[in-house]
Amino acid sequence: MQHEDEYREALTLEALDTLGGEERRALGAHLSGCAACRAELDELREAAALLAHEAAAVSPPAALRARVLERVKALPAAAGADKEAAAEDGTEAAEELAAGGAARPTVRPFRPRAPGRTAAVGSAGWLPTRAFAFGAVAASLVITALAVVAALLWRQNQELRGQLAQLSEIQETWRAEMAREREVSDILSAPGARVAHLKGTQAADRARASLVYDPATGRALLLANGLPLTPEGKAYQLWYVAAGKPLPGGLFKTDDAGRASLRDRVPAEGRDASLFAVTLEPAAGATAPTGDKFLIGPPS
Amino acid sequence: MAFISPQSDSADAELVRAAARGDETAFAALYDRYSPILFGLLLRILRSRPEAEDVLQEVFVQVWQRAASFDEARGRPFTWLVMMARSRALDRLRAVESRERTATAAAREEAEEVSDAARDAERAEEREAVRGALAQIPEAQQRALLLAYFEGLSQSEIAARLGEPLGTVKTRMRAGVMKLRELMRRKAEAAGTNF
Repeated sequence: MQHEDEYREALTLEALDTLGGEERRALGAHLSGCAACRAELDELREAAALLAHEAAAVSPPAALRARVLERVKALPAAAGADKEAAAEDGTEAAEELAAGGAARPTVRPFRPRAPGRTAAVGSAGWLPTRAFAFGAVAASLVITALAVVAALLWRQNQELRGQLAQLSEIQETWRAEMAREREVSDILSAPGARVAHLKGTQAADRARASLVYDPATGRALLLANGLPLTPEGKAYQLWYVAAGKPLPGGLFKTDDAGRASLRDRVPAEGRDASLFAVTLEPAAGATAPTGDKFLIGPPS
Repeated sequence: MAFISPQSDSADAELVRAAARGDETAFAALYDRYSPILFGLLLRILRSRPEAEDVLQEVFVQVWQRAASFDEARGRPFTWLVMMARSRALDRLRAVESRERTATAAAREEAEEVSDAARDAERAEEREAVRGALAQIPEAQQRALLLAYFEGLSQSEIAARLGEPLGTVKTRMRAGVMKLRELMRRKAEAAGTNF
């Protein structure tokens, strides 16, 4: 924890969004190479966010709910639909700090969106000034042909926009995946990383799991297989047992082959846990184990 | 990081994941659970009801669009949502040059939670815990934290406002955040029970 002490002031100020200029740049540079400080910042942001409770909760007008639900109906799910929108939201600013949290508020003038450029030929202004009989037919053929081309171009434009939206969505998912990959490798390569092997109980004697975690950051990864498929309305829950007390961990479900993975955060008090267990709980999880134990293990 | 009720945090995280898959019912449930606290936060920061209503909409649209990037391992949904709301509110605050901001009666309205009884109890417990903790820290720290959080002032602006040296203000804010974290950890510990 020595290391984080050094950066603690900068981290707490950043958690409050009051860090600026050179100090912030320096912290950002450090964070891109330091998982422990990134984890520390996450936790400090959690603490800072509690300040929101100082404001009285107020129910918004009912009409707002309807409006919001209406708006999202028209949007693709979890898409960064419009690259321009993502940039405006400060996604780049967030990445700059390599911590992926909400972007630092920046002053930006309201910019109306650039209107879609749809080819619109055939509007007023194309009327030939003089129409000889033959010329008129030829002219109208030309206009029709152009209108057809315009329609085709317009449709292609729409398709391209659709593809762009899809690509943005994929990119967004990819970015999230990349961030996850980095975290997984952070856990696996951490110098103090611990591994615990869990074995199935009588309820699932073929089940096996490995739990890898980094006590410094608390980041943990559980990989399990051989578990019975998760029944409807239930979920498996991981427990960290420290001093005889089971501390609740994350929830997960198995795939069709009885395998599962879970990325979790070891609670602070659980970092010296001597035992880990997986039980089957209601889908929303529990604060204390209520269901059957399926996996149990000591650290190696 | 668990706080008072890890299971409701887990349940809410599942709602966010479902919303990321396009589940409108899950999204509506998120709106119902979090809009009062977020609206209250926006009112406090923006001090303008029409603006708060505007930004609340934007926030939830953003929630819908960014749901896939929520990562439960890094923090709970409450934090994710509060950070997004505050960020947009501060952006809006700064984009508008000079405005008459009267502390309207709206900012002092009391809560009317729309959610079910169990949620009410947890939220109320959480609020009481935080306010209790804040009441215990030295007033100077409180003031610095609240200026930073609700008005989005920079360190130097806070120092100027409080009429104190920059170094002092930084120390105060740091101590304040650490106290909040201590509270969070103690409550999380209390959330675990015996086998």
